Amino acid sequence: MLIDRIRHLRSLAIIGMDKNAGKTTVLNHLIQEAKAVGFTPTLALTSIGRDGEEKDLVTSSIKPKIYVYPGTLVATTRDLLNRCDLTKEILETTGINTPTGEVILFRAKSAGFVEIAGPSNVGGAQRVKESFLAIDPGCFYLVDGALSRKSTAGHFLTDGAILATGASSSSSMAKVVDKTITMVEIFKSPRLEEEHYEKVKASLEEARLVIFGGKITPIPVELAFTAAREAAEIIDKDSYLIAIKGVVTDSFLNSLMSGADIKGKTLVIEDATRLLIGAELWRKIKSLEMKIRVLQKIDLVALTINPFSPRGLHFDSQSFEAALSRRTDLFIYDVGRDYAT
Amino acid sequence: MLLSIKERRDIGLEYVFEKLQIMTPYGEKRQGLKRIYRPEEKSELQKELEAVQLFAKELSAKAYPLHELQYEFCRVKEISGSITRAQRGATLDEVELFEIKTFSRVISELRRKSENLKLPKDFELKSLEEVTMALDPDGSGLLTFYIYDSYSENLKELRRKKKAMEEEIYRQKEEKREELFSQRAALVVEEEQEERRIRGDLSRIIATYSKDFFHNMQAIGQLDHWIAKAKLARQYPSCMPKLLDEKSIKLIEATSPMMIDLLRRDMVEFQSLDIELRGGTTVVTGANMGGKSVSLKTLLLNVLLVHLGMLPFAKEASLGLFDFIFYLGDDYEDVKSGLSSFGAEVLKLRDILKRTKKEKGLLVLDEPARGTNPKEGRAIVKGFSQYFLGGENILLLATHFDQILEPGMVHYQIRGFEGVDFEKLKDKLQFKGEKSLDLLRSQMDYRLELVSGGAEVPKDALRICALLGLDRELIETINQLL
Repeated sequence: MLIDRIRHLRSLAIIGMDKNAGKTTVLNHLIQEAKAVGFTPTLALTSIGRDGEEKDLVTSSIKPKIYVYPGTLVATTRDLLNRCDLTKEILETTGINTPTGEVILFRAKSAGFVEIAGPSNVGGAQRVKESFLAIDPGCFYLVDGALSRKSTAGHFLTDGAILATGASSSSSMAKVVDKTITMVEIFKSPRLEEEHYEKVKASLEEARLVIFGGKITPIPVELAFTAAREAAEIIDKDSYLIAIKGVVTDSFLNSLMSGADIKGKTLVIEDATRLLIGAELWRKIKSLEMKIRVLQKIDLVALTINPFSPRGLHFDSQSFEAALSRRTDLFIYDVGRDYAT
Repeated sequence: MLLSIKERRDIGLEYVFEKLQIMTPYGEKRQGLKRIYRPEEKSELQKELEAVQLFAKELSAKAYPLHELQYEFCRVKEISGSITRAQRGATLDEVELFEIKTFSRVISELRRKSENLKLPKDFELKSLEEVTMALDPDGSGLLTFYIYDSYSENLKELRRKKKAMEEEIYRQKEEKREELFSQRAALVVEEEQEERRIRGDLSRIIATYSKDFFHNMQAIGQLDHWIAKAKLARQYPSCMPKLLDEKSIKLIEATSPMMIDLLRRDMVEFQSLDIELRGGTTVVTGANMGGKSVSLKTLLLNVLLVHLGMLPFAKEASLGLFDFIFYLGDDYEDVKSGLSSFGAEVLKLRDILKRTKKEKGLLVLDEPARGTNPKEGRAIVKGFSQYFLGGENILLLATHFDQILEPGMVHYQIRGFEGVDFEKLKDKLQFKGEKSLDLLRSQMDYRLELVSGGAEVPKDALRICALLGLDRELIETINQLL
């Protein structure tokens, strides 16, 4: 069961490789299992990094709703509140605004369906988590998280993660497997070595991009593209570490690589969800013997697969799972097949 | 207030605004109005100032109860939209009801916590106990809200059925759930209808109290604003000003929080300002680096603060209220209109002169016409000084032109290097290099001194040249030219 994979955690993000990777289904399974096994902590749900539900309406695929049980804590936005059909006890109006209204916290007084949305920035996410913990210090913080390229997007602030992948990501199974395994490997990146940890962490409080070498050079970042070029000019043979706050994309790294020799150097990111790059670039990073390090390690506990795509191109569930398990020993869970009872 | 935001920043008014720790949206709204009290509103201003003074006193006597009030302020949200909606007969939603419940609770807490405080005479928070009770039918005292079962038997019964259904759904196998879910959906619709009916009832109760809600929002705004102003008044020396009927100003030991804080960083103490102004012309003279501008700004700041219902930062202040307060700053430049600084000055002056014919104002001009040639500049400044002489408008003018003064004008002079031993200072300066300017500044006496008789503009400029080591021969030549 999935729930057994998360018992050692206090918080978890379900991260989708793609929009229809089956995150909500995974969330529903987890909630069901938690109820079935009598998982003690109160679940506290929110969603981070989504820009509203409207796009789902456009693709018109049937979006599964989340079914929760009495006692569950939920953060959602004002507009989505009316789409939650259970009896709600309003706990807090947070003052955090989103495109679909202010973030509201409530407690489920009955079972029922909810739609969740939350803040899309770091500060807001932090405050929602704190509010949940203030309401119930023992709660289990559960985030439905979309990976976002927006540099302002929040981290999920969780100590564990489940990665959801599926056929909706590409029509080629090989490509989906490649993409997914890249992400899995990124999650394996170790925490930055103790000797550098404090100074790097402190430096990122001051600037979004910092080069460590003969001296420490913070680079004021406005546009990622120009920042990469500026960084490339500063990087020399003495530079050993590049620390970046925010999302690192293909275009940023490509432009950095074209301007500087970064073979063997260390790249530090906040956590694994900040490195949003494709399989090709990841191979390049590996062949350049670059060391990827994170400030916060997120424990990737499972890989969930959804062989169905809303566009109608489905994968064969068993061969999809087999292709993935050849390349990772992570626990793999097929949302279409294993159903918790 | 005829001041641009840049000028307000320059004189340190924005700094004072930023220092106000306002905590509620209603307090923000009140401060945002930046209400200027006009001469005919003197008694209202008196009441406002007394309220601030009262809280400043309460703060020194017992800070704790006031902090308790501020703790409640943190929970205050803007609910005027919801109250207006209820007034119009709309049915409020659960979040609105939650916020109204919180607001009502905050009111009762504020009422309780302010019982032992001295409050301004007509200040009152209206009780919203009925609303609190309606939104907490079980009297749980909890700050959360939902449509409680106890609102109606029907609701209770519906929820009981729904709960049984939900438990059934949980027990059933996946295949059978669909059917049960649609049965549940029907119950949900019924529940929602009943809830809406109850929300409607609650909204109507709230609507009957809408006047009290609006009164309380305003009252919280006042309370929050008063306490913020009182707190600030205690951070820097301040006083209760005496409001006069005649157009005159007297400030003793006036200061400016911005200047105090700026200088404190350099470990220098701000030299306070003593000044007395009456209708007519007052001229301030002094050396170039002598702080004329700072004196003018300090005066302006405190006169403005009183007009804004705040306690002035001074040991003593008495003043009349003005129809307008005009300031021509030391670096006025209307870049937008593309005019030269002189042209822009003229335009501003043209407009203000029109007003002086019908109204009584305070005009503060910091070195007007300094950008023009000295001959014409002097004549312009002199003309202004004469124009206002003997009138009821107050003209305060800083200049470094000489031969402006005439009988009937009041003359203040920056003390400058009065009493400084120049030979000693010169020796010290020789070793200071880059730091010479700081040392020189520290030796200056920036206070104003009332000069009687025909004292001339001091020639401190040349002294400064000499002290800072300008070529001796050149100085000799200049001296002869004088």
